[in-house]
Amino acid sequence: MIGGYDPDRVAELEFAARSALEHLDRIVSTDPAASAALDATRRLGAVLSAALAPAIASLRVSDPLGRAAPRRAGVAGLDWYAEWVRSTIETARRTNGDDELLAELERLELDVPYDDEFQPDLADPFWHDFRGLAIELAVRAEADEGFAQRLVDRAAGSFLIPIAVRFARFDPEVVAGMLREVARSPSAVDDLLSAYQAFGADCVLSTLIEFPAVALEVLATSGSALLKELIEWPFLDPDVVDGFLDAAMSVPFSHESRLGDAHAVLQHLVTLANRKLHETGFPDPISPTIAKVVVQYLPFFVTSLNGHGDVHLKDFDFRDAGVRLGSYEEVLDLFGALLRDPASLDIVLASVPGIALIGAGDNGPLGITPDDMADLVAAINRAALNEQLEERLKTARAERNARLAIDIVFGAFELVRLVTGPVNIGGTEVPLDLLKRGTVAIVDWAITDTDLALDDVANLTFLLVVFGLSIGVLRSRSERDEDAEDIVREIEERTAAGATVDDLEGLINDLGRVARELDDTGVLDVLDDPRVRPPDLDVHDAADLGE
Amino acid sequence: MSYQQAAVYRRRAAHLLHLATQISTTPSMTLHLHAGVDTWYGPRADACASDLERAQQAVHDAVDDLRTQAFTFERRADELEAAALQAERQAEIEGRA
Repeated sequence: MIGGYDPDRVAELEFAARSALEHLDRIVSTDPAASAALDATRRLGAVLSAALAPAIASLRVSDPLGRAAPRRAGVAGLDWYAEWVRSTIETARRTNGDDELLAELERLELDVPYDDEFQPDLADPFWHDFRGLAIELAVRAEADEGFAQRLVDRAAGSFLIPIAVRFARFDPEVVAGMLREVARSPSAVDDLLSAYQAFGADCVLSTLIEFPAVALEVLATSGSALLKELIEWPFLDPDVVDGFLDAAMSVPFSHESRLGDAHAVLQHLVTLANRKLHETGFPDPISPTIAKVVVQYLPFFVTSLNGHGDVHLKDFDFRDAGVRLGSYEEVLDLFGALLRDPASLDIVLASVPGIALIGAGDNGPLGITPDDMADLVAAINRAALNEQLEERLKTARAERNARLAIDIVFGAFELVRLVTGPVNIGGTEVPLDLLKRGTVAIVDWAITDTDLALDDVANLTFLLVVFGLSIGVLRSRSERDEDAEDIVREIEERTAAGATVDDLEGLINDLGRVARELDDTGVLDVLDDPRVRPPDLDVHDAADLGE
Repeated sequence: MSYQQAAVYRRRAAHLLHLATQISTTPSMTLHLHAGVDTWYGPRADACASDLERAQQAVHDAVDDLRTQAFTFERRADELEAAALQAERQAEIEGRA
């Protein structure tokens, strides 16, 4: 039996418990040494879902109006004045009718304070009073589905409704409904009202980051319309959009049953990439986020990037999921849109050594072969040709950060590894982080010391393939090869010192040559494939180390 | 081979440390702050708080074990690398002789 409770604090507890359960669900590990810890987190989750949640639910049944029971003597008395002020502010609106509350919201919209940059001024006392109204809205929305729906319906027209989500705990499904509405009428006009609307949308997105499963559901079930606005609405905070998409698209890696939703989002991305508006690429701030999402799911469609027909998605067991991502040309447009943005280009390029290594591996459940890796390289090179991206890349080079791009890619691969298991070559595990340093060096060098342009994309992808495969072959051998290790060290030193194009090209070809001599698996034969080797590069003519 | 085994141990250690941080910073570990007598009281509320505290303590213990295991893996990696280095030096000396 519950003796007494504070409905607002119970609402906070319920919200916190739901968020806690979502976070616990995302904790996964395939390491046997972590099994006891995972058991402990599961037991904690069981307490939340089997004890705490029913106890909270019983309160709603016994007191559907959610009015506060008398407090136990002495509890509030510790700081009775502060408690009285808080309680007065939070319950001041309790006697208002629903219509009165909504009318008050409309009236307050005229008084919202703004700062010097025409953003809502959160330091203004206005928001202290508004918090009480926001809490009352949340309490009523929790108790009355009809009122919750009225709030959702008005969210697009009244910017204070989505902003209220920042000040009180609303049911995440109600917040998701608000997001759908808010994204229906974004403004591209840079005025005060637009700034408030975008701020409201940011509040809603930030809240849903705490509920990734709901975030994924709302993305998947809103067609491409919601994704389109997240990408194109210029006043949204790109960090918030990044966090929202990242949280949503990571869900299937801990909840495989949600993979279908992620596939739907990927299909929406292909659709958007093929719109006329994105012929010049996605907007700068959001393009790297999209590149990360694509790279995260790349191992699950790279096997059908074979130059014609449709591209299909696979599930985490690498069986055909029966989902068409798009036609080959449509998927090329997605890559092309990403290559238009320098930071996204780096992310796409940085994925090449990882895919090369996976392709060279013993396959196991992955089913990715060197042939699939060759198809990926061909797709990137064709997309680069299609886009004619020369001028854009040159102008934006100063803004690029290779290390960040590589961190993003290898972070994505780590997530993928949770469901695919490790990459093995010749029965020996090859940790992906082995590739990381060298990939940073090569991409960093390409960004800062070369005139990276259309033709160079083909050369650079080739160098990255040679590097990825060579590292894989060398690590699969039980004996260490001093020549090869000298070359790897030399590559890292020279790239750090600002090597020229010729220096690095010769060294990586040397590495490829040494690796080929040691390669008894034949995985490096793919370097002769015309899809991989650039027409103007002769791999058999490389300068020897030390010449 | 020892270098490869050492790398595997280091990777596992890093993963366990990351997992320990992830678990210990999850919102469920601060949930008791929302479930005190300011929020509700009575026998059922007390039972919930007690269950929650026990489960949180078990998670704290498990996180400590994860960190200890990670430390053990790191030490094992150090030993393997030291052994491999020693073997290389020995081979070098024998090669010179």
